[in-house]
Amino acid sequence: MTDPVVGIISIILGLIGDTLDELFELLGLPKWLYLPTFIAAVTLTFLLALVLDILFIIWMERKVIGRIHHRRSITETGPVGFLQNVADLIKLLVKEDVYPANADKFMHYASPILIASIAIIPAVLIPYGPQTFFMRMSTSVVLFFAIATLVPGIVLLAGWAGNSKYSTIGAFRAGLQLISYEIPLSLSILGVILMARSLDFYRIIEAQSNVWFAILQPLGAFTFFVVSLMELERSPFDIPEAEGEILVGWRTEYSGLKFGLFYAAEYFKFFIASAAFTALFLGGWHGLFFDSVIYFLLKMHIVMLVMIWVRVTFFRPRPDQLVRISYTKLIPLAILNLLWVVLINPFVLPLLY
Amino acid sequence: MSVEDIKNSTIRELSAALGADVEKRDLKWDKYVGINLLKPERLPELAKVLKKIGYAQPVLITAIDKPSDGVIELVYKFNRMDSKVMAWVYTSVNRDDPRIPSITPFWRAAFPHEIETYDLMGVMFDNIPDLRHVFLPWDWNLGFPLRKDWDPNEAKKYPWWEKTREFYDPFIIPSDEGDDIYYVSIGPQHPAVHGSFRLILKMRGDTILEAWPDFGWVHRGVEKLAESKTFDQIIVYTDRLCYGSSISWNLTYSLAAEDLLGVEVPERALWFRVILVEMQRIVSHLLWLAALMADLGTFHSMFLYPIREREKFLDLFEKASGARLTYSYIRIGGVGIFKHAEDIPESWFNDLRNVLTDFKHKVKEYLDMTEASESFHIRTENVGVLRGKAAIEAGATGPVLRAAGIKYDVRKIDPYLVYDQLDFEVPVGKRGDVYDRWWVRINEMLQSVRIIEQAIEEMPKQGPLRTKVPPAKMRGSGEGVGRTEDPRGEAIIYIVGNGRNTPYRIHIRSPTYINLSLLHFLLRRAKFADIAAIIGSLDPCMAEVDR
Repeated sequence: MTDPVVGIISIILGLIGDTLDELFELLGLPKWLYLPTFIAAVTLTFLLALVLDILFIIWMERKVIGRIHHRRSITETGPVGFLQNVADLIKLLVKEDVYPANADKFMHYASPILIASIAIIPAVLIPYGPQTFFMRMSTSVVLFFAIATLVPGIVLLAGWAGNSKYSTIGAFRAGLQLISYEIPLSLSILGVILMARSLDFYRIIEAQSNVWFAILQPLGAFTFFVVSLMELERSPFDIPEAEGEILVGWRTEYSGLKFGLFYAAEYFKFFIASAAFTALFLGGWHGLFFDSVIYFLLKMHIVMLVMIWVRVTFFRPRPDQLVRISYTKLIPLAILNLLWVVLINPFVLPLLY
Repeated sequence: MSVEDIKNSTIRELSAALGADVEKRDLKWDKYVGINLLKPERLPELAKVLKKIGYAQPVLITAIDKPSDGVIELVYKFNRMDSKVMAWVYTSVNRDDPRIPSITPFWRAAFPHEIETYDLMGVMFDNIPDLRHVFLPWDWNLGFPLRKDWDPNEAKKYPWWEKTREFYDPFIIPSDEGDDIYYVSIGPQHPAVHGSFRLILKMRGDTILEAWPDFGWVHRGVEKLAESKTFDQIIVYTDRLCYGSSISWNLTYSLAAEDLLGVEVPERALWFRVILVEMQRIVSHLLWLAALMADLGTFHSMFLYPIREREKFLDLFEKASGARLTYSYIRIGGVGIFKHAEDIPESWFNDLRNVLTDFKHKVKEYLDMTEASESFHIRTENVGVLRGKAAIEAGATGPVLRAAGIKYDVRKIDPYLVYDQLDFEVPVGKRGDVYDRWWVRINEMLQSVRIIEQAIEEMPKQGPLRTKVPPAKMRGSGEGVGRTEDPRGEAIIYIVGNGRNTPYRIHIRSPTYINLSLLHFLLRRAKFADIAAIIGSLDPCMAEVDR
């Protein structure tokens, strides 16, 4: 059975195409401008969808955390408080732009834009459905994690540009976090790549048509899950931001729209990390009866729910303890997973594809 | 050893060591031993003898300004870990040039008291390592506020407004000790300091080399204010001593004032007071738990669970006193009038029983979130260790001292109210780290539940709840002391009267002030991220420090 979402998407694309056709005819624009305009229109449409989804995610997170906290959370603005995020967004937009006297002005303004724009790029590398993807390339996994690794570098820049001690401490903590999660991250992906025999997300998801990699290599899935929490800088691994210790660390000096961009980047990362977990370990679009984008989105949001649950449950380790956890627990686990994959790889081949 | 033996041996040892320079002073309490020291310069010798024969801490140092005699009288109170006997040493120094040798070099616990006495009363302590202003600004030279002839208008001459930026700017601290050493200023506004005090840290990398706490950001001069208020008006100030434990401070003050004024409290009121202060202990510890957990992470879920239970206790307080935070409910002569009722209604006790039953289940929930989680253990174990003798030496009291393995609780050592008729245990830790302080306080809450349950059963069902003290009789001379176990440590209020309806001098021993001055030791060699855990484990209440 074909994916019903594909039909919807083709209708949307058709609508965009028809509108542009009429517009070009009406205004008499040159033919060569058509393709760039079409691409821009499609990108904006999907960006809008992403932003809507992120508004939903933030709403979900606030509601779920409120329930866990035994409080009601947002209720007033809009139905069940859904418009509260929009109100918050407007508040951030109209805030005064505060710029610290000692800051490096160029980097201070560049880093929020850089971080928000880079954090979203990996979203185009993930195939959301069998026919629904932006691009397919043979090394998409490598490119995906290469771009994701850039973000802590910009965090370091952002904290350094603030030129305050708390920001600098937070920024260096982000750097410390990077060196502690990068190795187990690569090792845990390696298991998936070895099993699927490909560096392409599409092939990796196709390989899980019968059985998910989370079942075949649970250790790898666990390691990747913990490591993605570290990469997201969310509680319990919100060490660079630790509110009770260094206020909000590298973000201390940023307010208003700049803070809003950091906030958006955090949720882009959240989106992308859970999408990567779904693609690598939870079989992507594969589901009961038919393959669909719906399954992908459903699994992705369930992963997010678990991450939110973890967020309100565990205590934050110290930076030195984080490195210790990573080097003495996660790396051995990832290597163990790799050995396991090498051991069972000949026997699981008939199960794949 | 009995009380009499300790008192006699104290006098004997002191006479042997100092000869005619000491003489026995008659106090109105049998359990305390009074000593007059005629030559203040021999104080260190006296203190060394007291330390040798088992006195543990200089628990309180007070200065009383007496312009008519031209002297400042100093009162040193030394406590013991094994008995209720306290040695009270009285000595007088010349008012124009008040000098006395410091006992800090061999008895660290005296340090916060001595610098406070210097700060507010202007007594110079010789040989003290670091004599500086603690509550007043560091460059203050406009007199000493607690002296009787000090004009409050003097304070207006200080350029407060110009100094503000200098105080708050964290960049004023020089760092010319090499590239790898830097200074960080934590506070005065920072979530980890639970109020406003400043902590100056000398750091290398992520490790703290030295830490200096800096108090006095919200100092209100309650001791000075109280000198112009009548005894019953002061109750309202004692509420504001600590927003977390108002009733405990009401009680400490009431005990001191009743002691001074000679007021008898009816039996039933004593029992009801026990219920109230133990409820306050639970409330205060819940607030502490919430604040510590918020600092350690969990995105505030362990912050909101204790607050949820705290609200239920606050509802009960509200039913009784009408207020949720500043109760003014324990008063001189008994307790206040129950809101909208002649007597305590039975329904209030039923509500209390239900809340307690529920609370005991909820404590298990806290344990599931904390003790069952490895992430809690790694953050708290072997962090901020202060153990055994070192804790006594440094002056710690309350849960901090008990976590260090010393079984010292004023409720057991020197029982007040009806604590000697109640059956409860004193939880004691082993290692003296943040985890043990957490463990001790959790168990104290459970012991408080036990005490309240007993008190509800054994409390007389009928009888008056207060002795009416007419304003005309609210005058007293001499001394009065209230010594209680506050949720944060040993609280003492010492009142000196001179026959008027206002106290001549009132001194408040704040346990948090002494415990927070331990940060200088606790933070040494700690990591930056441990600051929140260590400060939180001391249960700071800045309103009480800056009293």
